[in-house]
Amino acid sequence: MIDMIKRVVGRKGMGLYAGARRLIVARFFILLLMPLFGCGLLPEVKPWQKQVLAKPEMTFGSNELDEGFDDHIYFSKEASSGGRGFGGGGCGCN
Amino acid sequence: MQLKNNKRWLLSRAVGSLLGVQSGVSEADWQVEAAYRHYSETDRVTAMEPVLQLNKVDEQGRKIDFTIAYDSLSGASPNGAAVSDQAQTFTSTSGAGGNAESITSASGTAYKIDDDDDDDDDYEGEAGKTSEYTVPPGEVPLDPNFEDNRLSMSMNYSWPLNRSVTTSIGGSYSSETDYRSIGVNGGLSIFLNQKNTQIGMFLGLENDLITPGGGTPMAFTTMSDKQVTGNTENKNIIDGLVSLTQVLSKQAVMQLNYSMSISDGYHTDPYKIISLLGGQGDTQEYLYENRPTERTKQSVYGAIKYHLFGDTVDLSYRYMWDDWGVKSDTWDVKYRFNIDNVYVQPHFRHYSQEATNFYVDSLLSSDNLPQFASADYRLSALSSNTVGVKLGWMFDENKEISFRVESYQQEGDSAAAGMDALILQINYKVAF
Repeated sequence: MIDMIKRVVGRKGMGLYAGARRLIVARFFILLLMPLFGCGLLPEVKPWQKQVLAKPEMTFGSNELDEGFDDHIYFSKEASSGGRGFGGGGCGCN
Repeated sequence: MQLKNNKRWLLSRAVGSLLGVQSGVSEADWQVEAAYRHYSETDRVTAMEPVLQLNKVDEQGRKIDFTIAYDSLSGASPNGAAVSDQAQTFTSTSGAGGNAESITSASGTAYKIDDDDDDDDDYEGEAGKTSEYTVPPGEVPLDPNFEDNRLSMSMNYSWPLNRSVTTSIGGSYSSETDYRSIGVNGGLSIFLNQKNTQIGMFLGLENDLITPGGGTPMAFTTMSDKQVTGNTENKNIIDGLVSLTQVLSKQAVMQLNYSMSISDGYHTDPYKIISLLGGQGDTQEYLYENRPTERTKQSVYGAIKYHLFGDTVDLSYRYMWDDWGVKSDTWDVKYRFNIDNVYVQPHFRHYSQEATNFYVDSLLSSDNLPQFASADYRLSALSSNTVGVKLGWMFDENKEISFRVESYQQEGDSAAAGMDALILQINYKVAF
């Protein structure tokens, strides 16, 4: 998995700055993927223990208007899109 | 009428509403949210965007969501030509709206502003109805005639099949002067491990119809002798996304997405040109650009939300790549300070991308024309930073008002990439 992450984020001609950035990216994904390798390490959160997780700000997709505005701007000014939601089409400008 | 996109928003929202099931939704029946955003680039484009959203969740967990949005955009936009030490005069078919006064050297030839009676300032495109503008030496060539209005609508409905599976369907439509888009989407979410794990799968289909003002320019035809190949173009897109959402603790949840988007059809910007330079670096002509008819984008996206000391930390990263040679990194962090019924949320975003493999600053007349080329700065190597803050006040049990101010700055290899914008936004939300 680590090799795959490095391959995904790897690129030719990276300088010191890019190398450091790749390291940060790899560590970030390792942090995210940890639960996949050892669910036993995670406490089992019961439904009645989810008061904090039920808050809107702790819910993915709960801030759709802001995210929609942002995606709208960034799509029209940058060559990337998607990730959080769908990433295809809609306009010929990028 | 350089284009912006609403569709991505609508599709993202459709996916988002289903991904958001993980931690529950408002217990109120109806929720209405209205927002207005004012986006203003220094010396370039200004956008005004009101949005209205309604959603309802019933006792069975079924959720329906309607959104309607309107955009009004105007201002000046880079046309793709390179900066020159000579004054440059261009012919524009990208619109003929209220900025006509800023044109410094309108010729006596074909020239038209929107003087009709239909209450809009849209480009009333007809081949041969064009305007001219001149750019002073040393300045980034901007077309002052950029103007467009757009209306978009979407609907999404999700419902639980049983305790472990939720499905959704959605549709969207948007229309602007030279663009129409229709999309449908569907998804499935599976809950495992006492709903501490959620696996989502989503599919979206979209058809776009492009009607460039003045017709579709033939690839690399000259601006001074524009040849058109037709009046309408199409693009079809298939989007797929798989998602894993995992509760990490009583105070933390993460999400990991993989998405792929396959697009087939007209990707060229019909208003963008490329400078053709002679041996002395002198501009000989301006050519219309040409992009591939296929594009496949992929991305991995990771996000984590922590509840820490009563505050909320939201961190995300996206790596995107495509078969045009684009590779990009996007970091985004928000820290929300919760103070009773008020919150303050600073926001920072950093984005950087490599150029597409057909991006050029200009072309040389001594070289053979490439198969594809574009001088659109958005396809060049660039980076951008967003810094801002949002202030929210929940002044009643079911009412919230919030304000957001952000600064968005871009820089890159192209002179046109030097851009900064101010973003102002107000939201009002009420549940009843």
